[in-house]
Amino acid sequence: MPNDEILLNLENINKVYPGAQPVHALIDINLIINKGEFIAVVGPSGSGKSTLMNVLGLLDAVTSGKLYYLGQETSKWDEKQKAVFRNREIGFIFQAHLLLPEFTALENVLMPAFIARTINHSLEERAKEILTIVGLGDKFYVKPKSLSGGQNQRIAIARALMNQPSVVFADEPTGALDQKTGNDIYNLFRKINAEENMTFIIVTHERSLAQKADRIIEIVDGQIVK
Amino acid sequence: MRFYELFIAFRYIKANLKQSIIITTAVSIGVAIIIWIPSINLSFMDDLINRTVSSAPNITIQKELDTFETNKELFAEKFKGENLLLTDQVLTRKRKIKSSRRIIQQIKNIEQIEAIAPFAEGQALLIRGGEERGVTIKGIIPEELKIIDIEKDMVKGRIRNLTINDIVIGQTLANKLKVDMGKRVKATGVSGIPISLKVVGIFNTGLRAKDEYQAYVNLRTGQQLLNIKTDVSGIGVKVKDIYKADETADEIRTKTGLYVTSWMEDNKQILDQLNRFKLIILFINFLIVSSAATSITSVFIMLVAAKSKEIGILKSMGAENKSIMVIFLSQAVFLSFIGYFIGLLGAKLMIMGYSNLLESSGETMFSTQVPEFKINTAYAVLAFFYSIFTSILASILPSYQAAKLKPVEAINA
Repeated sequence: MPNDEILLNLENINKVYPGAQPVHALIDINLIINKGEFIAVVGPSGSGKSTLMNVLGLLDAVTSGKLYYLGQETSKWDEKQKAVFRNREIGFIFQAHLLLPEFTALENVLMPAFIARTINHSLEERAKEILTIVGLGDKFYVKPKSLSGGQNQRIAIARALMNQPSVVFADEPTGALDQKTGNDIYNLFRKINAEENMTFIIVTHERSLAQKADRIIEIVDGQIVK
Repeated sequence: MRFYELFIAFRYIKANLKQSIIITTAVSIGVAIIIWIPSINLSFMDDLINRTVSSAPNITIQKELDTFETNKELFAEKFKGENLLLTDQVLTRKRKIKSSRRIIQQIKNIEQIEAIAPFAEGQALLIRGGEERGVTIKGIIPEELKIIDIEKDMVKGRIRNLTINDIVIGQTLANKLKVDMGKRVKATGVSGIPISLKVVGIFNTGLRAKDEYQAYVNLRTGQQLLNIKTDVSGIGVKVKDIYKADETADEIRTKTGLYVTSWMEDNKQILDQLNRFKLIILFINFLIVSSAATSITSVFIMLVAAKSKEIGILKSMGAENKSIMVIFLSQAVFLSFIGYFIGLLGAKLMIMGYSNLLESSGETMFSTQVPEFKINTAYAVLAFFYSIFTSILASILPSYQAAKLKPVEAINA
């Protein structure tokens, strides 16, 4: 039954990594995530948090089960459809910032817009604005290798927000940042979440950050326990 | 930005300068050699063919084989062990045509024929002071100059309008006989009667066989020296398309029933050798292209491996497989484009260098002049497509692998 408020709907999702000893990374996951939610995903190392994020972000295929995005079942989508969807609707912030070292901070942030082939002057202004918000207003034309880990993470955050996606997946987004910057970033997420109704799904070890979320999903051994 | 793939590709080229230089170098070396080897060899071949074709008639008509020759086997049976001598006598005897005018009338309307001239050719001795030289003397008429392109090789004097007292000799022969323009030499042919001739022209064809052993005189003088009265030893023909000489020779043979040979038959061995040589060049080129392709492939495999994480990031941001392929393929095409022009320049420099080297090292065995070396256009065009095609072929597999990388695997690589 389609519900306009539902962003993501997971039905009996299983993810098994094949091999001599297959690893059952996700077991019968059933989950509904609404538009505009601010969710923290917690759990011990190796519990399946990153796998869940990859599956939700259409970076990895599920072994069984159904994943609905905005009411559409995604298992029939081909690579191209998934790529277009990722570009328009999903923003990623990886644990390691994963920037493109050959490009400046501004170009890295603009990359999703380049890929969407929608680049124009106002988008460039938007990229500069986001970079300024994350505290890099004076680093537009600096390449990642000349910046600190925290600064690079902030570029990655700016990049995830660039195309105004429906949902942002963040894997330990503030792990590499000092407490003050971490708080600033959290506040930024919250502000965007409130203003633009953008969904945030944040994988974190930090209890303090998780407790600020609207909802906490706890995963242990590939299963949602809470 | 409509083509962000190119934006990324160019940035990669700039950022990974070492790899870019390796690929460009591989392509440019390949291109330079692909162009250089055939250009040098084909220049030699063209030069050889041009000199061969221009220094002798395209087609030569001689007297039909007489009964001795046509019944050679019968005679051989009869005169066991003496057939060699018999053949030799026959060959000597058969080279005389009595009615050259009639034959010229018979064939002059053949479409391919451009010029016809009778000649008297045979061995003679040239004497000047204490120097003596055996030469091939050729008695010609002015029309002959349309058949053999000797006028361009004249370094002194003239070859046109020779009187019965004139002779034109090669530069090397002039040096050996120690004669110059206006000096006289004594010529003795099979007639045994010496004739005093004035040197009115000296040529330098670059072919040793001509420059040292060939002399031209008036047809009448030639006939006198060879003691053949008003007969001629053959009729030379120039055709419009030198590669149709064989067909035209057949036509003349059918019309006249005479013994007709074309330059292609006369130089069959050289032509066969040249064709074999072309095949070898093709094979060498194939090896060069293969080795260039291998190095390009390995560089690209390394490049893709080094960039797999970034490929994953691009995919997570929505880059499609074909875009990833375009990013890597366009690098290959662009670098090979640059490599081609560097290679072309390299080939030009190598050709110039080789030409200078030959000029400074002096004469070769067959030729006294260095041919004019120029870039062979066909091979230059071929090398262009080779370079682009090879780089695409060499990078398509790594690019495809890059495109097929799963985002998660790439990011975690």
